[in-house]
Order: sequence, then C-alpha cells, then structure tokens
Amino acid sequence: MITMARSAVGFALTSTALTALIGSAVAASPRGQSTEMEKTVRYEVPETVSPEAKVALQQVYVLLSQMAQAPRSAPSADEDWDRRNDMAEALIGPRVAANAEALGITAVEDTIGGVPVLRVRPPGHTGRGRTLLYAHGGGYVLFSARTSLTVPALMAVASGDEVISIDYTLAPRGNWQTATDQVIAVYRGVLADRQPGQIGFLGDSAGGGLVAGAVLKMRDQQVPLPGALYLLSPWSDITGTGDSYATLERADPSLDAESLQWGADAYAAPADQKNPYVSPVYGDYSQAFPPTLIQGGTREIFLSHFVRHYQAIRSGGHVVVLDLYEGMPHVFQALAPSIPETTTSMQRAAEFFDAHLTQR
Amino acid sequence: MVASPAEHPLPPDRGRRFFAAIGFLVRGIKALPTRLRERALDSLGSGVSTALPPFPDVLRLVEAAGGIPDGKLWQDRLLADCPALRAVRLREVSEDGHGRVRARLYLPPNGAPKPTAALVWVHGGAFVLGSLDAKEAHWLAMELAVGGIPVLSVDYRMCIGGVHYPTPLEDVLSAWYWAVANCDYFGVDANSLHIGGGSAGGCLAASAVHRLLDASEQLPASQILAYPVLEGRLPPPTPEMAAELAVTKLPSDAWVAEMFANWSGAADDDHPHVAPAFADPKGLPPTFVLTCGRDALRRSSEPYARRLSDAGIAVWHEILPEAEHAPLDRPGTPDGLRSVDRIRTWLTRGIAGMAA
Repeated sequence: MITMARSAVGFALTSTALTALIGSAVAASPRGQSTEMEKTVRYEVPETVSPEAKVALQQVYVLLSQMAQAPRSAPSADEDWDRRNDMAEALIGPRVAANAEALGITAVEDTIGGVPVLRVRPPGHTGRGRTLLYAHGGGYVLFSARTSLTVPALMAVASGDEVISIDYTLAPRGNWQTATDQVIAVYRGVLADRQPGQIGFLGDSAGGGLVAGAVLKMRDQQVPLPGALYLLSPWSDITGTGDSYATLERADPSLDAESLQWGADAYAAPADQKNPYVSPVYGDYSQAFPPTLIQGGTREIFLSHFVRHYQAIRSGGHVVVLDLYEGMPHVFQALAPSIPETTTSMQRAAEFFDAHLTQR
Repeated sequence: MVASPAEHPLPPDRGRRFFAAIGFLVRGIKALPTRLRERALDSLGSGVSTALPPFPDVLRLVEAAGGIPDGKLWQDRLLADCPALRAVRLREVSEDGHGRVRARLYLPPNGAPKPTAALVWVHGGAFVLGSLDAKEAHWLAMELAVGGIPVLSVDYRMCIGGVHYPTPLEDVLSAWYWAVANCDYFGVDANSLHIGGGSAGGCLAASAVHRLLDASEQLPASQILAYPVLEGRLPPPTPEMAAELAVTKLPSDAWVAEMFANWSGAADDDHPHVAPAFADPKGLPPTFVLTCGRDALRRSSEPYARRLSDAGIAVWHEILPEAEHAPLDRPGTPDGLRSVDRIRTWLTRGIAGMAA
C-alpha cells in the first residue's frame, strides 16, 4: 500500500507527469502501444534490477503507460501552463506530503535572498554546519518545492543535513536568467552563515541542469564556488541533443523529446539554449569547478547528457563521478524511494558530500 | 562635485532610533513564512501616507528594514475582482549585460491584436520605497496590458545605504535599452515605445529622456509624467493652488527637499539629470503631465507643463481636481481609474485623443 503510494508519488514527480499532464483536447497519436511493427521495451522491467525494484517499477509503468495514452499538444497560453501545473500539483500534493511524513522530515517555508524556499530537515537535525541547496525538476514548467519533497527528503535523511529547496519561478513567467539568478541569490544568502565549502548543491532533471548552470554563472560573477554538486538525471542539454535520444527512444518509460521541447522553449529562446547557464554540458570546464556526482539510469533518453556532462567536467581535470544504475528510469529515486537502488544511490551521494564538503 | 550643507539639509543624526526599531520590526516580518508575511504586509497598508514622519526618520526605517517590500495579497484580490486580468501574460526580466535590468514584462492576452504602443513604466516611492509589486506599478501595468498595451515595469535600486543619483537612473536607462533591443519580442517597433513614471518614477523617466536627448539617441514616442517629482525646492503655490492645497495634510517643503537631497546625493540639486525642472525642454517628445489637485507637487508640475508648452513641445496637461498624490496607488478608486484611463487614451490615441 505504502509502496504503491510512494510509487504514485514518484511517478508524478518525473517528467512523465509533464508528458501526460500537458495533454489537451487536440488529439495526437498516442504512444505507448506496442505493435508487431514497433517492438518497444518501454514498460518492461528488466530482469537485472532488484526484486523490490521489479515490483515497484512494474506498478509505476502501468500508470505511465496509461498516462501516455492521453493526447498531447503544446500549451499555447499561460493559462494552459498554469492549469497543467495546477493539475500536477493537485494530483501529487497529498501523496508527496504523506511520503515526506513517512520519512519524518519537517518542511518550513522561508525566504532567502528574496526567494521563497522550503527548509527540509531530517528528524533529529542538529545542524553540523553544512547546508544543501536543492532545485526541483519538472521541465522548468511544472511543480514546486512543496510538491517535489521526495528527493530532498531522501537526501536530508541520508546526509543528516538541512536541504533548502529553492522555489524558483517557473517558465514561461520565469526564464533561465531569472531562475539562475534566484539560485545564486539563495546561495549568497546562505553564504552569510556558511563557508562555500560547507554548501553543496543538488538537483534532479531540470533542477540538475539549473544548479549546474547556476554554478557556471556564479563562477563568472566571481562568487566563491560551493563545495560539491550532485546531479540526479540532469537535463544537461535542453536542445535535445544526444545519441541516447535515438537509441533509447523506445525504452524510456518517462520522457519524450517532444514534450520536453515545449518546456525548453518556454525556459529559453532557441538562440539561448546552448548558453552554458541553460545547458551546462556546454560549459567551460577548463576553469575551476566543484567536485560533481552524476547519477542516472540506463533506461533514460538523458543517458547521453550524463556521459557528455561527465566527460566535459572530466576533461577539465576536476573530480567527477558518473554513477549509473542498471535498468533504472528517470529520477528513479523519486519514482521508487525505498528500493535498494535508491538507498544505494542516496548513500553514495551522502558519502560524496562527506568527502568533499568541509565540516564546521 | 561636493554639495554645500545648505543644499543638503539632512540633519546630522539621520533619523531617530525609534524608527530604526520599527525598521527592524519590518525586517522581522520579512523573515516570516510566506503566508504570515503576506498577511502582515497586507495589513501594513500601502504607499506613503499623508501623516508622514520627517524624511530622515523614513529613511532610517527603510534602511533598518533593508527595504520595505510590497505585499502581494492585494494582487490576488485584484484578480478575483477582475478575472479578465488573468489573461495578462507576465514575464520576469533579469539581465546583467550592459547594466542591471530587473523588470517585469506585462504582455497582452494571447490572440490580442498587434499592439500600437508599449510603455516602459517607472514606479514611485520617494526613491526609497516601491517595487514591481506596488499598486502603482502592478495595477497600472495589468490594466494597460489587458487592453493590448505591453508594459515593461522597471525595478531600480533604491536610494538607501549610500545609493544615490545616478544609480537608479542607470537602472531605468538599462531597462529602456533592453526594451528597445527586445521590442520585437513584445510586438512593437522601437518608434512605438513610450516611457513614463509616477512621482519619483516620473523624475527618473524624465531624467532618462534628457539623458537620451543629450546623447542624441532615439527618444521615446512620448513621456508620461504622473504627479512627478521634478525638483527639490517646490516653487511657491499660486493663490488658486494654495486654496486647494489647504484642504489636505501635505508633506512639508522640508520633507520634499530632504527626500530629493537623498536622491541627488553628491550631485547638485539643480543638475538637469537630477531635477528635470532645470533641464532645457528643447527637443523633448510629446509629454503628458498628470497633476493632482491636492498634491504639493502640483506647485512644480504645473509651471513645468507650461514651460514645455512655451518651448513648443507638444504637451497635454491635466489636473485631477481633488486627487491626492499618487492615485495609481489606489486601484478601483475614481481617481485611480481615471488616471489609468487617461494614460491608456494617451498611449492609444495620442494628444488628439486626449481632447476628444
């Protein structure tokens, strides 16, 4: 029952919800139907994942395949975006809250640097002097700090640190400049009580691209860099470039390139989409960059993002780790918070922050 | 150029400690969780009331608070009262290319006809208050945008903590240049861009125009100066003015002078880019001056309008007879609605439309 709820929570937190929820009355050809001609493994759970994952993902994929039947079209007005986001949040809100409660975290609203944030603290949090800053995913157009609690909650529990979730202004009202500015404003605010080395950043999907892009922007603004970066299935290139977009197109249960493009275009004009602050895979890594951990699954069209981003950072001689999980879909940690793969991945992330952030 | 003490009458002790205490209270409010903060700000009320403490006290309060934000609950009420405004598309603008641009673009609803005019608007607040969420900024912008006029509402740095002329003016100019560079994004060509502001924002808008004029750059299609600040020392009132002004409690001349000195900083109070009243009107674009009958600033804006007219500038001067300062700060009131309406008419039908 709880697993089911958590799975439902999880699925809604991924860009799959983006895909499904931005459907409208205009019919488009539904995806997700396997025919003789077009064999996909999209909703098949591989044998090589843990038994718990097999159960959890099976349930999630049933929901995903149903959602994928919905016709989809690009939103044409702000009301469309608002409505879809409202639907998304109404759908997952109560379950995310229940999930967070099950993990025992507390979430308190605050404002840092003029930006609304949610302070997520694990039970028994004492404040060791380290702070983690988180940016949520949702294609830059969906969700909020409140409805993206699962990953920061998992991180808070695994690390024992407070995770500050940044409620950046979604596109189309916000854009890549305002979002990165907001991340930097929160960071500067936190720098009032912390050394840069005591601050770590994490982000999933769009949030991963956002924190990585914001770090590049900070560097250009001569702001001292944070101690470490943790990216979960980051959207490192919003131009939709990457070999895995082709090779894994029929294997990804969550993401599709077309609906991602709608969010991308709302976030940045096509002419700006290769700006490193937007697509950090194009960053200049010959200069300083914090130690970075990139995690993802082998069932993601984003796989090439992880590889390209890893190679880019590595080529600059920085500490970077690429930690991939067999058969896992996009931000699997949110989809299935209690499977062994998730536990391992969060433990690795906590260890990574332990290794690279300075203590008090 | 160092100003003499006579030109900068800020008293040496710069505001009383009591007001600093209130400022720290506001700082505490700012740190509250969103819902509580918004309710507290909502109850604090809006704008600069007529029962003003001396300006140095106001400044001390604002500085202790680190700036006074505008509550946003009224915006939800506005949308509830006028659901049509929901169709306005909002876009935040933040750029640090050639200068600091912090602004909000208010775009007409999807499917609206191609705009014939767009406005770069500068809110007021004595150079120390106000923001994009102030009524004078947000309400006007929403009303104009829903009617098909894109508005770029400019956020500029306040004259607090040692900030003075020209910093706020540079921010306004940066926003203007951004508008010119991006006007195709909001569907007008650069010739159809207007500029305007209320109160201190009127001073900034008018100064920006003089800066463009002096640099021989393309001017706005027009300038809209709503109950503007134009100089630090208000000329004496005419007998007619005095009679109408006697009805209201107004900020003292000293208040206005001190407020203005805080804007001018080390610059001269009569520098043409500091005080538009002292600038040469030659070459100015068509100008709409909106004066409020029960506003001390009318002592400045009325002769100003006449001076421009005498110099051959196309001027439309209008007085809202019983209006107090800043009707755009009072959404839904007759004076507020009239102000919005006249600005809309000016932008869509020009000087000819105003006379109709």
